[in-house]
Amino acid sequence: MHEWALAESVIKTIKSGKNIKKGSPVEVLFGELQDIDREIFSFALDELLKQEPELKKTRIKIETEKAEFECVSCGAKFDLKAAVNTPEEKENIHFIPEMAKAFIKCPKCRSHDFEITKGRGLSLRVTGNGEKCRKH
Amino acid sequence: MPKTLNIDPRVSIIEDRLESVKRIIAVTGFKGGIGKSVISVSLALALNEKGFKTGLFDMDFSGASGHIILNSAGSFPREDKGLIPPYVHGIKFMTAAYFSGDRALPLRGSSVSNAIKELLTVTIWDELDFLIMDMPPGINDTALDVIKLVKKAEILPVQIPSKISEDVLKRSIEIYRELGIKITGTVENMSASSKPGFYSQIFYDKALEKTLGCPEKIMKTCFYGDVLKLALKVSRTSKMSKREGEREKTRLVKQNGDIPGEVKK
Repeated sequence: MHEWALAESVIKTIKSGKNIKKGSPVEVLFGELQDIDREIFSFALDELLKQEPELKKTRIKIETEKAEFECVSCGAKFDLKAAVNTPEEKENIHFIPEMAKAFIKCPKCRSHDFEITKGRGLSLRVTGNGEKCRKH
Repeated sequence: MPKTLNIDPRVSIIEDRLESVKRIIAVTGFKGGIGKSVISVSLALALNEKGFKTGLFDMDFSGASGHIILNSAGSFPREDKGLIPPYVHGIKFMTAAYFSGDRALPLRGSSVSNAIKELLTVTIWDELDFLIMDMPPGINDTALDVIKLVKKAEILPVQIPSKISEDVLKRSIEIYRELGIKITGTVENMSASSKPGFYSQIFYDKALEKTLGCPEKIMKTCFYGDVLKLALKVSRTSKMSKREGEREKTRLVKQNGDIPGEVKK
């Protein structure tokens, strides 16, 4: 249920208005690596939005971004499918995605020194105009 | 084409997470192996013993050791609208070691920053009188992130009686001064003799090593007795007083010559 804490950070960011024009649709990106529970996050977002009447018209869309890695040692690019994890390891990565560095190895050279190039964790994407967004 | 902006929402909530923490003390030192972690853990134990609600955050993600000193085996944060650090020997304790287990954690700079932001975002400390942050050595990504994200952090620098340790500390402390970071006062660890000017001295105690991993035994050492004095001093000062600040500066000048960046009048 630490999704609630992440949802709070999203609401706080939207409420601050910094870099987000009032009424602009907001896209929440879930990194595949962090494996955020969409249902719990959406529930938290709904509950938190109820407490913020000024954000009533805010449209939030949730998308998932595939995780991609690039090995610093040999340059190989790989995805999460290539990195086998136990449920316990997945849970630890869920809390801190950087824990992947402890549990995942490059499938080619077995190095732990890789970059998470895409799909790490939570981020927001805001498009300046009134691009249409369905409510989550 | 409309502009698309990517935003990291986590940084917006970090100050809120630490709002109910009265004081945050980052125990730092500029070389490894000078006893920062043992001092951090012992300081947290001492403040707790004196009745202060105390938290301990091991910020050294790649070289975490607080969990070994404190023996937190079997503890794990509870999930409830965030991560609630477990109480270990009366202290709320958070460490990346809960998640990395006995694995090594090789992290480059940007990964260190991301991991710090993640834990600062989701950890619910609630009300604390003191949060002790055990910092990795040097002014690196962790130190820069703490300066940027944890505005009310004070620095408690640790050095040992060594020319190298003193010299590196002198240069580093000046950076903190220039950035306007509060410096609680320099602690000399592994002291061999009393010296004037230090905020606190902790004398070398050869019996300490064997007690690590058993807080009850740590708390019976002479080392802990000195840390207890440090805890009392820390709890009585909101930050280094002007007089102590001047004394500290004089000591550094006496030991090492002019302070870099200081304009002579």
